[in-house]
Amino acid sequence: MLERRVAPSPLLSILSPVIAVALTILAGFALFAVLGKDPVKAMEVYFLSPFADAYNRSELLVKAIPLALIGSGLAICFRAGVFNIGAPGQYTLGAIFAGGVALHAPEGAAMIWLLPLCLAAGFVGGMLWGWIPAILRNLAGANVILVSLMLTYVAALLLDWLVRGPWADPQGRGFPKTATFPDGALMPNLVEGTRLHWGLVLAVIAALVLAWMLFRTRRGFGIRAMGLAPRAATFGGFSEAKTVTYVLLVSGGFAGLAGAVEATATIQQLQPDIAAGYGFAAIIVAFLGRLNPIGALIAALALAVTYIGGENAQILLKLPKNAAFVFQGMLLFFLLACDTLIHYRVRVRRRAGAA
Amino acid sequence: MEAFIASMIVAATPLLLAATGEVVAERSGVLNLGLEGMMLLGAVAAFAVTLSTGSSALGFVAGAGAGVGAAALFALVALGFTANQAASGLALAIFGTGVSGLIGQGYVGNAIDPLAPVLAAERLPDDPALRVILGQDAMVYFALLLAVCVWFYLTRTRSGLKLRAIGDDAESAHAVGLKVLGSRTAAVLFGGACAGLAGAYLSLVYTPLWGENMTAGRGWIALALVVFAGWGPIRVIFGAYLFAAASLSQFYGGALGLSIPSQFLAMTPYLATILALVVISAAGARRNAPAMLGLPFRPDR
Amino acid sequence: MEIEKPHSAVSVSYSLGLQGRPPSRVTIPEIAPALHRIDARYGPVSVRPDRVLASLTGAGRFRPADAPRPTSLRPRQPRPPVREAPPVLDPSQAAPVAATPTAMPAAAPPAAPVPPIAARPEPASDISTPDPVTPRPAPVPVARGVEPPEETAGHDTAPLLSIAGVAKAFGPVRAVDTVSLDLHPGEKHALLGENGAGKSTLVKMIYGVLQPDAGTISLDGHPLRIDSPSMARRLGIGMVFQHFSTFEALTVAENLAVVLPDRSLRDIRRDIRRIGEEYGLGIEPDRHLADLSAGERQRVEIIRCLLQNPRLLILDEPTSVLTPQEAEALFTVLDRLAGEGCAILYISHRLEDVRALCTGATVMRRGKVVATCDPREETAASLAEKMIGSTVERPRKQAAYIGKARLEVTDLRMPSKGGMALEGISFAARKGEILGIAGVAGEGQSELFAALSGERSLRRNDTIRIDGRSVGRLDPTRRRRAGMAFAPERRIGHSAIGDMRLSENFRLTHNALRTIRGGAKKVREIFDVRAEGRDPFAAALSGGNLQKFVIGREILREPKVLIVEQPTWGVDAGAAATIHAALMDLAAKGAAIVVISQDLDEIFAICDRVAVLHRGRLSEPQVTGMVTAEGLGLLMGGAEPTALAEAI
Repeated sequence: MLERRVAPSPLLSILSPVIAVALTILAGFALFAVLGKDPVKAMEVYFLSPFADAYNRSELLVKAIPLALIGSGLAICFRAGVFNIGAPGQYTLGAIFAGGVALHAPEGAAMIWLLPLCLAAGFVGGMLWGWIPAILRNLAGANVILVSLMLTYVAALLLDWLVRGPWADPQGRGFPKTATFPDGALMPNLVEGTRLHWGLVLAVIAALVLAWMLFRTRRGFGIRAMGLAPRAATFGGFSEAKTVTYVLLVSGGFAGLAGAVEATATIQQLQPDIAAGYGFAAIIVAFLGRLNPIGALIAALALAVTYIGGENAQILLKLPKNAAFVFQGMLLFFLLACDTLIHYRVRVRRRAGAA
Repeated sequence: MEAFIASMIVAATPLLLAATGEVVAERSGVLNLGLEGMMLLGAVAAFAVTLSTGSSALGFVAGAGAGVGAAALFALVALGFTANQAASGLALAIFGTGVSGLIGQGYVGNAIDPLAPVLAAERLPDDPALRVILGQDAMVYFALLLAVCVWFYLTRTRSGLKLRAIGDDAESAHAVGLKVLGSRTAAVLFGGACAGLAGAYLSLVYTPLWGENMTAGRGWIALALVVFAGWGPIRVIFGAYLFAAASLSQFYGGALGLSIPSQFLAMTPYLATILALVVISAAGARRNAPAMLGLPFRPDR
Repeated sequence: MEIEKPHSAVSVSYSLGLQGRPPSRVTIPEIAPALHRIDARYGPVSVRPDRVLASLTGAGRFRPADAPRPTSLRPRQPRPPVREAPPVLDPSQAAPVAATPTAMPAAAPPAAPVPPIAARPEPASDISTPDPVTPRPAPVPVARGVEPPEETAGHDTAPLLSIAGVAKAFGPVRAVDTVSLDLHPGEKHALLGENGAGKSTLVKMIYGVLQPDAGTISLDGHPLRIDSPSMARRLGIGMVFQHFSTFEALTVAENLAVVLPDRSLRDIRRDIRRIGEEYGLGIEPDRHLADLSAGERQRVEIIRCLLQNPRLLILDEPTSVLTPQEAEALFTVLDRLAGEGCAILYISHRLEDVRALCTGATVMRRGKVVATCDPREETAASLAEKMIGSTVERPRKQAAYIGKARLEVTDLRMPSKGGMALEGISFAARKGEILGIAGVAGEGQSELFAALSGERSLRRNDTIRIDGRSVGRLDPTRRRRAGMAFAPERRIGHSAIGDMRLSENFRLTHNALRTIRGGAKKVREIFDVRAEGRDPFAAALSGGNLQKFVIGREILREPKVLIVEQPTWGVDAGAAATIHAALMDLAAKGAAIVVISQDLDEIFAICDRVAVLHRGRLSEPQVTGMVTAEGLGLLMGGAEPTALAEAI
């Protein structure tokens, strides 16, 4: 029996993600044991190897960057009570727009502007994809969850068509990919010898800007109010339609930016599987980060651990890559369960007689 | 053409199975986004059992069971802990994908005998159309039968009526004395069983193999299908065949004389669903769209 | 003493016996300041001219003077002896009342009222000095005017339902305080009372939703404990609720099937048709509920009750959602049912309806039975008087200055969105005044508030003007910038966010305005908001303290116009006093305040003028001191809004 607390428990708000992570590790341990794979070794590879050496650590950051960008934006969106789960689609559109600019830049054009232009285009692309559910909701009342979800797959198919069709690499020999981006469109490296790039700075700045917006501006206040009590927010003078549009544009934009960053930094071309399950993991990042853009930075690192650990496990333990999803899924489950305890107490109560 | 229709029927069956189960869950007011995960778990369980026992029937049972187990996890978090249903469903999708990959790792590359059709080829009539219709395996007919039974259950039985009432207004239903939590849990578990069966069909019949991510997004298409069909089981049948045709047309596009790129054909189910959503929501019809979809139910106070 | 013209002011002065002046033709403007200057020592003043009532009610008879009347809204005050000898109207002479108003003065013996001062209530010690803001009085007057049940139709049969000494308390509040009632088969009995009188609680105990703390409920003479609505239904008690939840997506038959598990759908369909024909409640069983009107939905509710063969049917405010024609149809059905032996318990504010339908009535006030009568022998006015109590509260002290209009609402119209449509509301709230808008729940208060606050948009900008500036199309924030402030009825979820701290809740209505540093802290200090912690969550505050915060938050920035809805609902007495004092203080500083309230005590305590909202229409505002409680009761119960103006 759940009993509502008088006011949310601040202690559990902070503890909840910690408990969830701990439970995930424990449950993972148990799962591997049950499946007959050495649990200790598995835990070591998944959770410790990503920190083992400098290269791994840099990879951790590389993986975390897009997660953080998307997660920060989603934190804003979820705070308003708008469940945008179309982040993978917005990410894809961002990559498409960025790639489109990169691939079609005229030769010899002022190369120094190419990268920022690509990134801006990516942001716009993601915004566009976020705007569609917003407008359909405001005009027709269509469910944001379902519309944004459907658009994810539309985006993936769009990318697939572009990569195999009009933008296919003429020297690609039939492989589904575009030509590599010109140098001007590539994200410069941050640290020599690693893949770590300036996207890291972008991610940190984005988180700071979004956090400032959420907690220090009037608009951010309206967003938070809307998520907690829509009627009170309207009473306070905040328009529901405008708030929904704004948060979808913002989260879409940052997801698109993440796609542009990945396309210009790590992948350096367009491929059909560019999304690679990033978007859904970013939802976990947002929740784990307590719907706080700065918290999302830390949460992104945590999830990046599962990705890098998963890749290492693939190599070292011959475990399938998707096994990382086991931890991610468990983490979200535990997090959701623990979060309930922030607002509700568990009480064992005998049920009263039926009405 | 025959081949196209035959493949369409086979492709539609897992969609139909998964969507039928999800219709029941959503009619009770629960949005379960974890179809993809449940289907994959069903697929791997069925494959493993069939491989070791040689019995497809047992495989299907195992698939359904895995689906129920996965759905139980979702029910615990989304209904028991009244957590956000969309997030819980996503957690299930992600988790199911991972666990199935882990379990199925050892089975990659193994092959099993595909499920035999109900009527042996020799006993089929000569007419090509009838050959296709009657020459399918048992699950095809089972899926159709299941959808019809679910329709009957929802519209003609007392229990189905109660379920629809709960989906429309859980608070009122609770006030009237209906067991909201119990019914919703049952609905979700049924949805899990169906999704598990759908996954089992994929790994036992559609391609008698196991591969990571073998559902290839069918779970999401099934979700779209439920909405597109306006939560009506009979419409789901037609929608399933329509969607299957649409996704297959990306392969048969040339043969069918269509000049649209295959990806756009593949997009049609999703775009059609968005359109359907807009139309349903704009019309404001509270006929079938369970008004309480996705809203948590907390009978405290 | 000559009373030449039927002018209410004359009767007023007659009752007042102003300083011994012989009553003469006095005009209203002269009266008003006089009223306001009346010294508290003389106690509450009756301003109920008999003639007013007569003209209001048309053909109706007065009760004989010897029937004791409840005195005032605040029962601690004893009745002023002025009332001891009011002109007695011989019932036989009252028949053609409306036609010959002049006949009445002739019949009025000009006796006792004239020696005014000497006859003033002597036991001055009994009269405590009333203050404008009075905490809700805890003890309730001993049931006055309780007539023996034989008054109602002669019953030789045993009562079907017997309620004896039933009581129910919620914390310190005694919602029902020793109530006794008898219902006979075939009797149509009304349960009358203001909001909060205890009618709903009493009825919930009959229906098994609540259990009484004391007393017994007996059916056919057997004391029972009705544990649940389903048990009540089994015992033959049916209830038609005012707001019933239904399943919109299901058909009529399916809706009924859900709540009646032991019947098949086919039987239900057949029964719906049968009952529909028998009682004239035609409804197609296969229509979806979403398509039905309010009247049709109520028919479904009634059919639901009838399907269970009730012996007692309880109806809670049934006509509030019906058109007059539908109400007529309803009465026909109820008559038919009563004729068949079903007892009917009818809860309503609509006094005309009650008089048309019922053969008996029990009037409750503050949890106690204050009167039992036969509505057919009463006038709507006398019923209203019993319900609300007679005299108006001592008018509060006149504000230093009531100036020009600060808030002007002109022809405000708003379509209904599932609630009540507003039809051409016009009023003005002036500088320094508190305007009260009375009315029973559901007459358009929330819609009016939403229109004033900007939460619902209006078509024309000049519908609402603040100090002459048109704000009709502005959103809440811009209206606040123009000098308006609002405090709605609901706190958590509307005026405050439970999961946010007080500092952020302060920001909720100050977010686009000039910042006030430490605003939340200031509010807490000035308005005595008691809460734990440096910056607590709003959900942790008690109702009274949160309301103090909410209202204080608005008052702090000294708005030009303040609109509050139910300012002291669910609030403890101390907080209510603070809030009332704060409101009057603000008005004294020159703001115009509009108080929308269902609590007549409150309205009379703090408002200068009052208007009544009924069915989305507003009556002409009248000076509170001039308004009779019955007049208000009538308006609230559905008499024409213009009647009050005519009367005075």
